[in-house]
Amino acid sequence: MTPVLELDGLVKEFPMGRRGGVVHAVNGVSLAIAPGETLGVVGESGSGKSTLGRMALRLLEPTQGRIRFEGQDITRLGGGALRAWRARAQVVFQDPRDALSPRMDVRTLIEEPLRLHTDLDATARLERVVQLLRSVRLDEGYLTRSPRRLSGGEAQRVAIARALATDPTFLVLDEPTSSLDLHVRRSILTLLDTLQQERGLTYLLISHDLHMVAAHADQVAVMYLGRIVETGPAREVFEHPEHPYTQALLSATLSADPTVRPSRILLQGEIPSPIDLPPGCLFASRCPIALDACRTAPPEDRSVGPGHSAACIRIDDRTNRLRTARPAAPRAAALMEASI
Amino acid sequence: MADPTPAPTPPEGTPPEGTPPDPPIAVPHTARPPGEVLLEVDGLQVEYPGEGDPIRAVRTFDLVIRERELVGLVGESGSGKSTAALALMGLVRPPGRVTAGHVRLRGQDLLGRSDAQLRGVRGREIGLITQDARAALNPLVRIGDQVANVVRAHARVDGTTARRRAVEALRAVGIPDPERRVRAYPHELSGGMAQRVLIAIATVHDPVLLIADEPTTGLDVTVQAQFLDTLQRRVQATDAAVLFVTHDLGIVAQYCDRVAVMLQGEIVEQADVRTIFSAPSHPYTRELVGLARDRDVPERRRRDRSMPSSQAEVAETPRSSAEAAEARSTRRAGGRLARTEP
Repeated sequence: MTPVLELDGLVKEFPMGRRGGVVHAVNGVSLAIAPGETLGVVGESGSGKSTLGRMALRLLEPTQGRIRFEGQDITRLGGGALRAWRARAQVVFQDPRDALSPRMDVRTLIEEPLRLHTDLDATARLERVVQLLRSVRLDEGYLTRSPRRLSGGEAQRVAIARALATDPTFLVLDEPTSSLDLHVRRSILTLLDTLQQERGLTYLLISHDLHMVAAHADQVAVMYLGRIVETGPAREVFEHPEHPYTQALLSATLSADPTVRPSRILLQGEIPSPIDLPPGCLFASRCPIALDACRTAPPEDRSVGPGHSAACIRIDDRTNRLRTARPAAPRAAALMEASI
Repeated sequence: MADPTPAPTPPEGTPPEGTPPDPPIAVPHTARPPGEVLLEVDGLQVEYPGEGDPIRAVRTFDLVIRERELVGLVGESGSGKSTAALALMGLVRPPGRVTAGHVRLRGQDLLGRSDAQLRGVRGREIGLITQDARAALNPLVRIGDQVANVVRAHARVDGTTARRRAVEALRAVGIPDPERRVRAYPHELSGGMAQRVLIAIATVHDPVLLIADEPTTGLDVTVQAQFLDTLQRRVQATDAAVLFVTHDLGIVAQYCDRVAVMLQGEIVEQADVRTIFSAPSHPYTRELVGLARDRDVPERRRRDRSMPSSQAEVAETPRSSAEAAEARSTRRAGGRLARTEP
């Protein structure tokens, strides 16, 4: 099946003002998403994941590389063709209250893409707006509301309705729940899962939260400083992380169970600057098991399972597992242990 | 090092006056001998003027923190947890004000003190670590000088000594090469390093109490792990108690002895950490703990993606009471009800 989205060797450099130099935000990323699937892109701040999402939507021009959408090369698409294509690929951002103009009411916000992309008359548009509101589980009472009068969860529902207005096949979800409280997060994620099933949507889900991505994505790509360090089926990556960075990222999540004290990997060292990237593996400065060879050349991807690969030279002789340390228990527990 | 020897002193010191105290403090799950009462808060209320009725950001707040105890104050955005924590140090931003209640640190009333007197407490007896370290640090002053200024604010030492202590404080929080780093400006530091500078500032006078207000918000998880480890080391080295204001139940579960849960300006439940997670009694606590637990087992939900959508609907349609409450409070913040249709 033709992938909905294919990225091939994408690079994005941002020039830095008068003094020259560039920020290397994305450094050669290739990936593909099958129809109806969710690809989760995980990474911490500065990993380039949002830049990647914006390039996939042609909101940012790649410095190098190609973007194909349903088999068609859209890297250089422009003018009317680009505008027409935008109806098929939409985005939901992190903070809905920033994404929704406070000067429009909910009806106008959802209607706007319909005005731009369809020739529906006013009556048909209103009908469609109400349908869209219902599909995100809001009722007509919201039509005249200002986004400022919405809770975070309600505003994100409106943003989703707006993104769905032109009946797209592909959505970039850029940290869609990061600004929301825990209970609202769950309802938004459930809504997104339901909409995906109902409409056969394809998602690029961008998040810093590997656990959330593992629960909602089919495939995962882990990014670090603009490169994919590991990619594979979500469950595989979650249960058998191979790249040391993925292992550290997973172990850093704290369990909400005081009786569970999972072993943790504590990283030392600092993250290199994206202005001045080191020649070898970008994670080497923080990697507890980095070798001299890691610092000389970027590691190639190694296949570690069906559809699962990671870029670490220590996979070759299976020495890529990080040792975990049991974290210090809270002082109270430490005291108890000391007194035994 | 933490001193493991304190005898299990029964709660003593300041006799509770007037209002009966909370239900007896449960012995922390770790069976640590409880220290003496360090901080006692009763009936704290904080209001902000609104259109018409004032907004009561903190309505019912009674809390006891014992020496060396790590207490988590959890709640979601808008629950009043940060307002309450800052009010303990006399840091309510006008036009907000404390309208009722007592805060006693080792029996000494804090709220009645003048700002000048409070300045003698803040930074020396109570340290504060806020979120967004870059905003908390002065962008125009080298970090070594910022630490040294705090040293000199509470200790009569000369500049050389203050600078030497600044280097030591930065070393203690794991800043690499502190002799050189003291000359750095805040913008030259990563977010995680800036946050560690805040720990250095907050703990330079070995305070008895640290208030950490969402200190890891905005930090990446691998950096957060490093930060929490550093904080824990400093707390153990200085024997401070900590009030940890956070919405992250993972931090609470892994780092706190006791937990207070806030909802809409009220502490609705407090207990030792094991009880909160194993037998939460308030419905809101149950909801929070349930949601946090879900996160721990994502594979299970992942398998449910094939479940019939009607089942997904059940989980979806009736929005939780908490979201309805969020909507209510948003409307309240908006000043009036949003019902405009006739």
